[in-house]
Amino acid sequence: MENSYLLAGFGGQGVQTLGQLLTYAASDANKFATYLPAYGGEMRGGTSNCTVKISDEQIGAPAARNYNYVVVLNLPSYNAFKTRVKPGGTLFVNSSLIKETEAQEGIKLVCVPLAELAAEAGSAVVANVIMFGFICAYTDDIDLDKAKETMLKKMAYKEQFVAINTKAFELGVKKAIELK
Amino acid sequence: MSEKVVKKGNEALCEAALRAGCRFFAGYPITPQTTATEYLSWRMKEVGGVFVQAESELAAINMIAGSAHAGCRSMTATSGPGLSLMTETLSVMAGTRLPTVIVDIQRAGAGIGGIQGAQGDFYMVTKTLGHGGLQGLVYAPDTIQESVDIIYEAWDIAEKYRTPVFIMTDGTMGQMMEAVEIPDFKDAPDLSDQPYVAGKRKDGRAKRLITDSPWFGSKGNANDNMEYFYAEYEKMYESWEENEVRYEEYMIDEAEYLIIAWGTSARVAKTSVKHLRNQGIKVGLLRPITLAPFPKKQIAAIDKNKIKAVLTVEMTIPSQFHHEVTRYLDKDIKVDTYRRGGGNMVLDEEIEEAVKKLM
Repeated sequence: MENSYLLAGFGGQGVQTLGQLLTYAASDANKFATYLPAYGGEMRGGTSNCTVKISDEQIGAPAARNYNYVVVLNLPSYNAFKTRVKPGGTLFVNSSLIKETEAQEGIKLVCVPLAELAAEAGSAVVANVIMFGFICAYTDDIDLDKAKETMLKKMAYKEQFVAINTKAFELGVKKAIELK
Repeated sequence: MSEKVVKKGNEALCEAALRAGCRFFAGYPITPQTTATEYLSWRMKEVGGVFVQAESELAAINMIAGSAHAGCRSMTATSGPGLSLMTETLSVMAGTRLPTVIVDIQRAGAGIGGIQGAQGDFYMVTKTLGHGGLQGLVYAPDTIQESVDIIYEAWDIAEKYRTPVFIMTDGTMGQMMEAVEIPDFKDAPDLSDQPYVAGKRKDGRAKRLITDSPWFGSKGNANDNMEYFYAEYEKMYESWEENEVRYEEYMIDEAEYLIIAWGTSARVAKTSVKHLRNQGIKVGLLRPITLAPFPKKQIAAIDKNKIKAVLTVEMTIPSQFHHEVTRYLDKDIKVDTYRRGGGNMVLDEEIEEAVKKLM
């Protein structure tokens, strides 16, 4: 069983950290995982993306033509990557920034109101942690307790960050269960 | 105790170098190598070594030559444009037979080219180090784990043969992250009595003069001495073909079709092989791990009665690796190539389509 993820947003939304979190968590859960960032002349406000693969076996190709899960956090990413979902796959859109979406045959569209959830968590900075919790709960690729443990290890190495990140993660999980 | 960590390819490679006893690094930042230089800029001093951000690649390679002449396990890392600048001293190192480790984290194209991963330095690194026709050993891992394992023994091999050792990765392997077992620290041997290390021998006698052009010896004149020594070097290169060739055969049982690829192209091809096997297509992969020595015999031994066709895969245009493979492959075997250039990564689906075209 191998799942592929394409994660995209604008620079600063935390998609690279999100990709790395998935990779760390999958590895902590004794799965194989690869993370590959798109790199280049990037800038704040420009587009940023990465690919993640999670598998029960050793992973060959770290990227693909199309992905099981495509996560787009801003409109330019939606426009660029909406067609990169495998048949039967899922497109997660940040519906706070992507207002108009079109249905695609054979592809599930899931709208996540990320800005509203971040406001509830208390900071826009934790949007990627919300999305991390959401993805883990939605795809069942990584055990939720393990995922939370990994997230806190990486994101909350200082005591003051524990509460807000925990809240963000749990908000994401709750929303995923609601929308699933 | 070795430890399992999730690390960037460049960082894992550098950590393993330190654990292998490397205590001197000089380099100049260049994408996609920069994360290696950045990592060692703080990590090297934690293990008591010396890190220098040189003023250029030219200076960096000369610094590691100097450090090796002082008996220290030394390395540099760069990408294509930096490697071009280093070639004069690479030639000197091959001539003096100096054990050093050079990591080429390849990027696309000639000149400035592009910063995405590619495999276009194949000829440049595997055929000869700079001018003069001398060689080094060249390793091409396809996973972060393999790059760690290879660099961990790279100085042992370099010192055994007194030769520069190359490790070729690329932007993809350098930037990506995956879980890797990092081995324990080991001590570097005392190299002070080695002929290439400056100073007197332990018994107080002077050492033989070492130069890149061995003019001095028992053969009469400079030309004859150099001719003699280079012929001796050639015997060493030939011995590598017997003793140092490494390759991987992946899912080759009952294979009717064979992909031959190296580095990132090969790891992508492994996914293609799995997919094609699931579709009932009997395909396998042959992956050279050493590019110099090249697994000539293993390629020549591919049986035309078993293998219907061969597909080479590489991430550079014009072809390089493909021509090297076809030099040794049985001429009766149908062969084609699939390539991506310009820094585009080859995709598993594309390789699968190319294999099906051969059927």
